[in-house]
Amino acid sequence: MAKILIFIAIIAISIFLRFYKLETLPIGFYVDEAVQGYNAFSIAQTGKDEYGMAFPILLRGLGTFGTSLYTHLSAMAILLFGPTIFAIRFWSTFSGVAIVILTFLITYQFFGKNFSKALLPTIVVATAPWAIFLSRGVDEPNLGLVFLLLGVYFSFFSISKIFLFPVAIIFLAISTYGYTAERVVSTLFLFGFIFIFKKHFLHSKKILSLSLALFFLLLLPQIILLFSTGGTIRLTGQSYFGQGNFVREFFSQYSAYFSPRNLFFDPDPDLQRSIPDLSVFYVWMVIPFFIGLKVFFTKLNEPYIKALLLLLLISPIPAALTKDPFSTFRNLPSFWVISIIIGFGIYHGFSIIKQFPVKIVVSILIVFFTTISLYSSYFVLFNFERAKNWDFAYKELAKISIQQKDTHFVIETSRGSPPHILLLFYTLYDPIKMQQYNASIINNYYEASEFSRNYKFGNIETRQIFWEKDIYQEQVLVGDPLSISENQAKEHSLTLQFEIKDLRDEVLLKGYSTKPR
Amino acid sequence: MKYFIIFFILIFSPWTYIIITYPLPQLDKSLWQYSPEEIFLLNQRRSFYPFYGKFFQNKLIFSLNKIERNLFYNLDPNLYFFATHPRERLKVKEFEKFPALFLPFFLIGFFVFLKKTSKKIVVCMFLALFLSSFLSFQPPGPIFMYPVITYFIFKGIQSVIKKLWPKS
Repeated sequence: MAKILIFIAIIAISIFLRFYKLETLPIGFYVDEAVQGYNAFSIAQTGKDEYGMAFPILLRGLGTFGTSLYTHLSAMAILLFGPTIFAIRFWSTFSGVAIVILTFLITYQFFGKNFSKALLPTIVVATAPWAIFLSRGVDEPNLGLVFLLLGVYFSFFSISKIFLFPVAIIFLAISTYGYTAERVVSTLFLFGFIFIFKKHFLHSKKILSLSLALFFLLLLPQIILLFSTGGTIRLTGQSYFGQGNFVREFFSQYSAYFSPRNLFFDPDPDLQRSIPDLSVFYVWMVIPFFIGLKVFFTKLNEPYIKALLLLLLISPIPAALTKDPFSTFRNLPSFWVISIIIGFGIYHGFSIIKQFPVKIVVSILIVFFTTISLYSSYFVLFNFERAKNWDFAYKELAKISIQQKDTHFVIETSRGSPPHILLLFYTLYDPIKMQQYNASIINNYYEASEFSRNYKFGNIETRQIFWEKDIYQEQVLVGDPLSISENQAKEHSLTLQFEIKDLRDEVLLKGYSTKPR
Repeated sequence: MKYFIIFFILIFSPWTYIIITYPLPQLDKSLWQYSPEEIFLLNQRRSFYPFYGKFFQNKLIFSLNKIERNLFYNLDPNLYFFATHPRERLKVKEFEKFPALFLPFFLIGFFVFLKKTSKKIVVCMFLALFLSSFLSFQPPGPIFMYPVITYFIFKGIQSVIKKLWPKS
């Protein structure tokens, strides 16, 4: 009974850390979230995305062709909760809680059926910065990870119950529709797992063959799209192929994903993907990390340990093929395994401490420093210092454009995120009209990779400002302080209409009305 | 044989020459010195908290953060084998301390060490990390860590030789 209560308490904590103020923390709504949001809204209303495509395998969005499973699930969430930020973030947050539960199930079932030993990795996943941060935004990797872990869970189970292997296959295949990197990770994990447990699978060749055929069949739509521009644009657009020494670049990128500096100290260099002063794990976790690594390497002969290490080693491969240094988004399965290593490290670390009062003091200190770090960095500093990176200003801009329906707004687009999709979501612009506007794309959906930042809908136009023409038309010009400087405003006799600031009173956007004569 | 391997590692490590020619390391004064930008950030951040901002943001925490920074940078394998690429540091002249070719041997040596931990090496590692966190030696970098890295590379090469030629 006590064990059940402890488990429920951990799940309750993980729910609180993920759902608390979900609509307003993070303070803004990032452009990639808006892509999911508006396309989900469009699918919920019309059955088609913003370009008029029904059930896209890959979502064209801003020309990046990401996976579409999250979008389709979000369409259902919109029908349930309405077209709100909460609805769009719901599946990522729900996935975050599901990952905590799956962590317990996997570590309990396959690593000794020891409640305490399984509880610690669960607590690590429930409270780790990477897990909380990526559950509180629209993050397809979180959804991909849930299905990958379901695949891992049933794969492990299939060793004693082979009929469950096709179930594992189905979840591994679905994970490739959840996030792009899982195409590589799930496939490599599947074949690596079969190799590790080859003696077991050789006794069930029929089920193995049928399962592999099923996996291929489920991936067929994506395999076909590999021959299109949309199917490969994410790799070709973000990789460093043909630029310098490929081998050196790959191994330097790959080893960065195991560096204690990046795991425990330096946040993701992309400000939109990180928390101020907090990396993917807490600083103190470096100690149980090394203890846990020792435990893992002394038990390398255990097959489930081998399978986890396989997942740890293959997960950074897709991330290491891109130019982004230490991209946390693309490496979630590896962080999950590292969380288990840390959890086991804490378990073995505590078993070394013999005196119970010392264990209590250490536990209190860990809880204290963890709570302080998370509160300070995420619940305080994050909203103040990262509002700009989360496109905070556009929600206010959308409100202004709705209040002033008869005013024409020209929004400067050469810097920052493409604002049109944010405004489409906030204004809930009619998807049918947007599909008509984008009608030229539909016949070439997966091939038309060029993306224009220029859009015109309602009373909004997003494009570059043409100073020689725009000042002679009655409209409001909107841009950040660098796009429209005070000198330019003075020179062109513009009148300041509004300023949108972040929580630090830093001006993010300014709107100037023209004075044509 | 093992002395030949150590000699081989030392000769092909760029840092060997640098250590011989550069002056001794000094206490890193930047740990307790604050630039105007840091002071501004500290004061600004204090105003963000609804209560007791000084508890969360103060000079002690800033200094501890810098010590942590030194410690974790010294634990970054890319610092030694890839000149900190792909996360090069600002205003620091980066260079490879060991040829990247030694990385697999370093990893093997580290895993061998994990499997059979030697208390002497653990003490040496902690001492090296502690000194490297407080002492500054630019541009050579955390020189106290280099013998530790060399040891792991040596153990890795030794393990590979034993595996390939068991009778040697």
